[in-house]
Order: sequence, then structure tokens, then C-alpha cells
Amino acid sequence: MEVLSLSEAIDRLRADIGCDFAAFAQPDPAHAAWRWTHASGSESGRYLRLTVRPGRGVAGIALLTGRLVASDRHRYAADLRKDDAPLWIPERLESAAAVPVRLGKQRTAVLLIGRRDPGPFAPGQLEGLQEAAERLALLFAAAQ
Amino acid sequence: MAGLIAALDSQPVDPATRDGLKQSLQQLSHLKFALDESSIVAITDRRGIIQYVNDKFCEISKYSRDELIGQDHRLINSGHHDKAFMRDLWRTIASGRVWNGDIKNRAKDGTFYWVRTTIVPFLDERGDVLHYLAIRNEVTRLKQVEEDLQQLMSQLMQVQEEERRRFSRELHDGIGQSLFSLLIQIDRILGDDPRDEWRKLRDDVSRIIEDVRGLAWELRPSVLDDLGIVPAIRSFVDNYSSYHGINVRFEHKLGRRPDVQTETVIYRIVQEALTNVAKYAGVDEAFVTIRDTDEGIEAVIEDKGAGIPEHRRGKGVGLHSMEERARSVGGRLRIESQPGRGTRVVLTVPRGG
Repeated sequence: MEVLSLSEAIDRLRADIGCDFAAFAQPDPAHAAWRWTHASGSESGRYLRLTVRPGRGVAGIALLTGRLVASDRHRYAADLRKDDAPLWIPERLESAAAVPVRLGKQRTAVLLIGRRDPGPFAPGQLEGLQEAAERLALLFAAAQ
Repeated sequence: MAGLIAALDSQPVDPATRDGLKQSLQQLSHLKFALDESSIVAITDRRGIIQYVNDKFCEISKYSRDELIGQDHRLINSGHHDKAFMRDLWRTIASGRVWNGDIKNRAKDGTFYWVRTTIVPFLDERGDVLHYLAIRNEVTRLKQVEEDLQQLMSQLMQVQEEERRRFSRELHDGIGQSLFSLLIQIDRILGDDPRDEWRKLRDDVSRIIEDVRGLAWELRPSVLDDLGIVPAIRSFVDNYSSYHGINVRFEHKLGRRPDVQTETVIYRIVQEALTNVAKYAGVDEAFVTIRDTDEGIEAVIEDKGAGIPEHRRGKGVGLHSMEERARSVGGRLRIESQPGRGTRVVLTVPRGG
């Protein structure tokens, strides 16, 4: 198997899925929080300073529920938009979808894709995201 | 005017001109009739001495025509408008421009009334003012409704704040405390029985405590009531910085604590203004300053970013509610925003308390 760095994996994910933004958050043990550590297509770079709060926003809900969450098909999309404002505003995102990634047995990370136009995600894009998360989980498992 | 029309018949004028003149006079007379029916009309000379008033003027001011002619408008001055307002009015009309605005007047019996006013200066060939024509319409009821609405807004904000305070306390001291004692019980069990299930339960409870505390803090931070505006803003700014990734430099120089309502207004306006910074400015840094001045307390929220977009000003972005809040404690809000150069929100409130 070809060995990719995480940054390259995120870049490739964005290209393969065909979206404007992709990012990866993982636990930051020093601060007992999840932080965005890698992104592709970022306009501001501010994501590096942001945390993911469990239960809040697209990524937070994906982490808490262990499922894929897409803002454009969520019942409380307006709440998600508000909770996600610190990431969406500087990146000018209109919608986002996130999915948890298992890092071994205990730890979880999260993978997010975003669109800068208001249209919905195509089903293929969400499937692509899900598959990418599973591939990443395998990579992590292999690395351990 | 009817006399003039009759006189025309006996004058040696060519018939076409006579008909034209008659028609014009007739139209003028109709216009004047309609104006007198609809509006309060007065004519003054260039010094402001009243030369003509219609019946509606007498009716609303409760002065007779004789009492008004030869006086200036100080007779009905309510004292409501400051010198700057009057200066602006006079400067406008004396330079030959039309003035529009709302004026509060006082009738002979001491009651007040509001009139929406248009003052039109009439000039001679050299451009000097001959006289002024003032047309007014009463808007007392409108002004009353405006005032009531403003009061209602301010009451609404107070009720909302009080509810938030109550909920916040209930969450923090009620549910928060119960969860905390639950945590202590789990800790005691863990001491004897260090199983993973207990540890997981402990983690869950401690996360719920965090959630409850966060919610209480978002509703209304108890530190605002317990310790005051400076510690409350410091804690808000810390949270804001880590939430939005925007650094805030907070400086303060404040003597004693202002009253609770004033503290609430300052807190909410700083909160709203910083939220706007995150939404529109596109910056990594913002500045908040709170200090005593001769006029009271001044709070400044500033950024060097993109400025509030033109189409969002006026409404939205909470500017209106910030102004209402400031007004509710007798304060003032000034917003300076320039595209590409940043936004500066300046709140001035009396000390109160």
C-alpha cells in the first residue's frame, strides 16, 4: 500500500470527493479537547486555533453519536450553523459534513468536508467521506 | 382671492389672458383650501416673526391669531430640543435650503404636541430670504407610540435578562450541584472498586457537569452578578478567544462597580460587538477597553478588519438592539465602521447606582 502523510491524505480526499474544504481533528491530550490539525483548501488558517466541542456543531455531533452528520440534511441546521460559526465564517463555508474516525480502540478523530456554495452534498460525496474515514481508520490500525 | 377673481372681470384684459389668470387663481385657491384643511401653516419673516397662521395653527397651539401674530416661535417652544438642534434648523433655512424634521411644541395650556415640519424659505432675486413658510402635521400619537414601543423593548430586555439569570442560577446551583455530589459518590466507589465501568461513568458525569456549567454561563454568567463587569468580561473574552481563535486585548480602568442594569448593558453590548467582529471583520485580533470618563463609563470595542458591510448596517447585526440597550440606561452608542479599516463601537453610559 502506498504510504501517505495525513496532509496528503486530506488533500487527496478533497480532490477525490470534489469539495472546497476538508479537515481533520484529533484529540489534543494537553488540553483535553479535540483540535483541527490538518486541512486542505483552507482560506484563513484559523482552524488551527479552534477546538471541536463534543455535541456542538457538525463535527461535535459526529463525535458524540459516532455517525456521519451532514448539515444540509440535519433537522436543526440553523443550530449547527451557529455552533460551527468559528470554523464556517473564516472559511466561508455554507455546509459541512463530518464523520468519526477510529484511531485504534479508544481514541476517535473526526473528518470533515465543507462546501462554499449553498447546494446540498451529493450522495456520492457523503459515501466518499464515509469510505475515507474507514480507510484512515485502517491506516491508523496498521500503524499501531 | 374670490375678490381678485371678481375684479378680473371688470378689468380691460384680453379674454384669453383673463381666462388663464382666472383658472390659475382658482387652482391656487383650491390648493390653499386643501392645505388649510390638512396642515398647520405659518408664515414668518426672515427674523422668524410670525406674520400669518391658519386656523389649524390656532387650534393646536390653543393661542388666538392675535396672540400669535408678531411673536416668534419661542412662544410655543417646549424646551425639548437642544441648542444644536435649533442651530442646525436655522442654519439650514437661512442658507435657503428646506428643513424637514419633528418638533415638540408647547400649547398655551401647557400640553405638548409633536409636529412633523417642513420649512421652506422663499428668496428674492438676490438670494436673500424674504420669508419662511412652515407646513406642519401633528404626529403626537406616533411619537407616543414610538416612546411606548421603546419602553416596551427595554422592559422586554429586562424580563429576558431576569429569566436568563434565574435559569442560569437554577442550572448552576441546582442541577450542577446535584451532579457534583453524584461525582463525589462515584469517586468514593472508585476508591474501593477501581473498575473501568465506574471510570467511564465518572467521565460521563463530569462531561455532563461541563455541559451544564457551559449552558449556565452562556445564559448569563454568575460572575457578572457576583464579581462584576470586569471579571465577567475577562471570562467572556477568554472563552471568545478560544472559541473563535481571535485574540482580544482587554484593558480596563474602572472605579467602583456600576449598578446591575448598567453592568448588564455593558456586558451584552461587548458580547454583541465581539460577535460582529467574528462574523464580519475577518481579523485575528480585537480590542476592548472599559474606563471611567467625565461623562460616565465608556466601553470601546474595536477591530482593524473589513468593517460592517453597508447592506447589514441599520438593521440586522444587532446594532438596533445595542442602541436600544444603551438607551435603556440613559446611555449612547456610536458606531464608526469603514470598509477595509475596521469598526469601532463606543458605548457611553452614566455611572448609575
